[in-house]
Amino acid sequence: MVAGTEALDADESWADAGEPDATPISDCRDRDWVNVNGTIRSVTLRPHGAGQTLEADLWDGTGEVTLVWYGRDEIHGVKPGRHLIVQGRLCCPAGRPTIFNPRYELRSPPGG
Amino acid sequence: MVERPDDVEPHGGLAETVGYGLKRALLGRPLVTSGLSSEKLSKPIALGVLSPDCISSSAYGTEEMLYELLPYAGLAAFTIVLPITAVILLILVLMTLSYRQVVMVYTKVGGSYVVARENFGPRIAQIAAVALLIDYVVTVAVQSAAGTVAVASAFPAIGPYRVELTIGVVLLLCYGNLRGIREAGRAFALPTYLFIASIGSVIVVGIIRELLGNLPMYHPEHYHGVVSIGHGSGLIAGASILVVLRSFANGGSSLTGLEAISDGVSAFREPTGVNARKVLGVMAFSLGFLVAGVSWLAHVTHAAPYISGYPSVISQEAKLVFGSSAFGHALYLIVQAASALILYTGANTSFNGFPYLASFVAADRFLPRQLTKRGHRLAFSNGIVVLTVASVALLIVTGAQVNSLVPFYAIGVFTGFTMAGLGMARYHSRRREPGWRPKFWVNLSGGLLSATVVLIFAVAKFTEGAWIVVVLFPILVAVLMRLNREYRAEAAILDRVGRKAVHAANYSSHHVYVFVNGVDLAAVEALRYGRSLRPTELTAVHFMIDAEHADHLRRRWADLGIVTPLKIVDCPDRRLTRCAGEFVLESLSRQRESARLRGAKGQAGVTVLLPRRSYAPLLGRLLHDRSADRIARVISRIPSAAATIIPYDVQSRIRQTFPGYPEEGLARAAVERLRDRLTDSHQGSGGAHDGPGGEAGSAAPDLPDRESS
Repeated sequence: MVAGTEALDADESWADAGEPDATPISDCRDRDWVNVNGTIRSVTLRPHGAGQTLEADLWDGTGEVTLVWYGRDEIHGVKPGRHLIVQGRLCCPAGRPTIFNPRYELRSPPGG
Repeated sequence: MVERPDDVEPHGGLAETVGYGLKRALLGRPLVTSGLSSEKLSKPIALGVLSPDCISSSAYGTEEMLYELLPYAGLAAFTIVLPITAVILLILVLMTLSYRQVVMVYTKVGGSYVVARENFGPRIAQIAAVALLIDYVVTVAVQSAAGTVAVASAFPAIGPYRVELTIGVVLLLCYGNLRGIREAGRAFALPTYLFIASIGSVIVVGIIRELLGNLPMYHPEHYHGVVSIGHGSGLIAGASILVVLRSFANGGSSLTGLEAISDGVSAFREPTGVNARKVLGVMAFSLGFLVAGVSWLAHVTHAAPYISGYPSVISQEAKLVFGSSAFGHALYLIVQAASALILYTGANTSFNGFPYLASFVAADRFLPRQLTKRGHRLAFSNGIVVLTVASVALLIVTGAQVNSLVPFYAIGVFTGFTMAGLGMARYHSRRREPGWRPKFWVNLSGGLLSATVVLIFAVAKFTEGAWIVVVLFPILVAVLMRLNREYRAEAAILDRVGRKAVHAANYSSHHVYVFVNGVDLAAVEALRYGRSLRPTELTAVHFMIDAEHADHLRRRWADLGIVTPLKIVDCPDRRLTRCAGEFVLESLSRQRESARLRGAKGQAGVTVLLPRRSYAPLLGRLLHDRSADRIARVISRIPSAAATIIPYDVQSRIRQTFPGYPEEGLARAAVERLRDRLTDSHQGSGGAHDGPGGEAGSAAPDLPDRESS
C-alpha cells in the first residue's frame, strides 16, 4: 500500500537523523518503552470540548505509530512533515500502535 | 439528495433559473410526459404528412440528371434522360413492392433499420442506422436548399441570399420542432396535395399543349448562365457510360423519402399494415407520375438547369406551359409556392425521423443515451439539435447548392433501400411462407439494384463529395459498434456483480471522510450530510500542500468549535489524487485490522464526501480545477469505497438568504449558524482515544445504533 519510494525516502531521513538509540517501529511491541524517530505524516485535531486530543501519525519507514496528547489543540512544531523523536510506552488499542502523551523532541524543521 | 436546512430556504421550494424562464418563453410551457399521445392518422392525412420528402424529390430529380448529361451529350441529353428515368422508375416499382411487404410485416416500428436488425442482427443493422442518419441530415440540407431554389426561381432577387435563407429555414424548423411541431401535423398534409395538384396540372396541361402542337420550346444553347452544353449529337461523341451512370446516380435522388411510410408505420390506424400499404402505393404512384412527367416535359421543352441552381428546370417548365399571360403567371407563382412549401415540409420530415431513429438506436445501446431523452416539449430535443447542427454545417460547406449536396445524398438513401430489400429477401427465404418465391425475388433484385446504385455513386461521384460519405460511413459504423461494446461490457459486469454487490454492502465499520480545503459553507454542508450517513467515524481530512494554509484551517476549525475531528495529512509530493487514494486504502486496511482483532464480521467501508462550491456553468469552467472529479474517479476504483461530490451553490444561497449583503461577511454568518446546528446534532461518535486505554475499540459504541437504522 505504501509506495516504495516513500519508504525509501523515510529510510534516508531516518538515517540522516543519526539517532542510534531509536527503535524501528516494526520492531516495537505492545507495552514496550520505545524510542521512535520519524516524520509526522498527519495531524488530527479532535475537538471534544474539554476532552479534546491532538493526534499525530509518525512514520519511520518501517511502520507508523499514533501519538496522542490529551487536552491540547495545538503543539507548536507538531505539524505534518516535521521530524520528531519521541519516547513513551507503546500500547495497541484496536490493534493500532499508539503512544499516549509521549515525550517528544523536534528535529530540524523541513528544509532547514 | 442533500437535504437543505429549512431556514436557509426562505421561499420554500426550488428557485427557477433565468435560463429556464427563457426556455419557457421561447418554447412554451413544458408538456407533461403522460401527454405523449400517439396520434393515429387517417389515410389521406398520413399520405400528406409522411410523403412530402418523397413526393418533393420529383422537383429536382430530373434536373440533377440533366445536370450531368448536358455537358457531354449535348441536346441529346433531353432524349437520354428518358431511359434513365425509366430505370429509376423500375427501381421505384421494386422498392415499393419491397416496402409494401415491410409495412405488412413490421407494423409497430419499421424502416430499414428494424428490417436489418430483425433479419441480420443488431450489428449489420448499424449500417442501416448510419445510412439513415446520414440520409436524414442530407435530406434536411437538400430539401431546404431546393425549397429556396423554388423561391429564387420565382424571385431571382433572392438568389444571392440563398445560403442565409436556407439556413434560416432550417433554424426555423429546428425551433418549431423543439416546440413540438408534431401537434400541427395535419397542417403539413396540405403542401403535399397542393404540390401534386399543381405539378400534376403542369404535366397534364403541358402534354395537352404538346398534343395540340402549340407548346413552345427553350433553346438553352443560346442562354447565358445555363450549364455548358456539349456539341455532340449523342453519347458516341466522347461521352461514356460513366456519364450515364453519373446521371443515373443523380437521378436516384428522385426516390429519396420512399422509406418514410415504413418509418412512420406506427402512425397509421388499424389495420396498420394494410392502410400503410395502400398509402405507400398511392405515394409511389404519385411520385412515379411526377418524375415521369417532369422528365417528359424536360424532353419536349428542353428546359435546362442553370449553373447558379435557379430558375429550376421544373419552374421553367411551368412557366412555359402556363404561358406569360397574367393568369399563366399567377398559376406559375402557385406552382412555385407549392414547390417551396413541400420542399420545406419535406425537410421537416427529417426532424421527425432523425430524432426518433436516433433514440431508437440509442435504446439499442449503439448511440449515447442522451438521445433517448425527451425534452421540454416531449420532442427528442438532443436529436433535433444534432440534426440541425449537422445539416447547417453541410449547407455552409456546400453553399446550399442542391447539385453539390446530391453526392452526399443517394449513398445513404440507397444503402437504406439495400438493407430493406435484402432484409426482406432473407425474411422470405427463412420463413418460406406460401408464395414466398416471387416476393423473395422482388426483394432480392430491389436490394441488389439499390446496392448497385450505391456502388455507382461511390465510384462515379467519389471526387465530388461522395468520398466524404465513403470515408465517414465505416468510421460512424465503427463508432456505433464501439459505443455498443462499452455498453454491453458494462451490462455484463453488472450482471456478474449486481446481486452480490447489492447484498454485500453490510458494513461493520464505515468511515466517512469529508475532504476539505477550507472552512466554507460547502464543507459544513458536507459534514452535516456525512453525519446523516451514521458512520462509525466521521473525519474531515485536509491534504496539506501549503503548511501556512493548513495551519490557518486548523485554527479556524478550533475557533469555530466544529466538533468533527480534523485530520491534516501531509502530501509532500503534492500528488493530491494519489495521496487521497492511498489514504482511503490505508483507512480500509486499518478498519479490517481492527475488525479482525474485535472478531467482528462484515466488511469495512469508506465513503469520501467531496464538497464542491458550484458556480454558474460558464464561470465554473474557469474557477474549478476539477480536482474533485479526479479524486472521485480514483476512489471509485477502490473496492468498498465510494466517493460523493456534494455540490453547493454558494452564490445563489447567498443571494436568496441575504439579498444585498456583501458576500464575505455573510458566508461567515451562515457558517456559524450551520456550525451551531452541527453542534446540536452531534451525538459523539466513539473514537479510540476518548479515554485512556481505549479498550472499548473505536467502533463498538456505535454498532447497535447503526444496526437499528
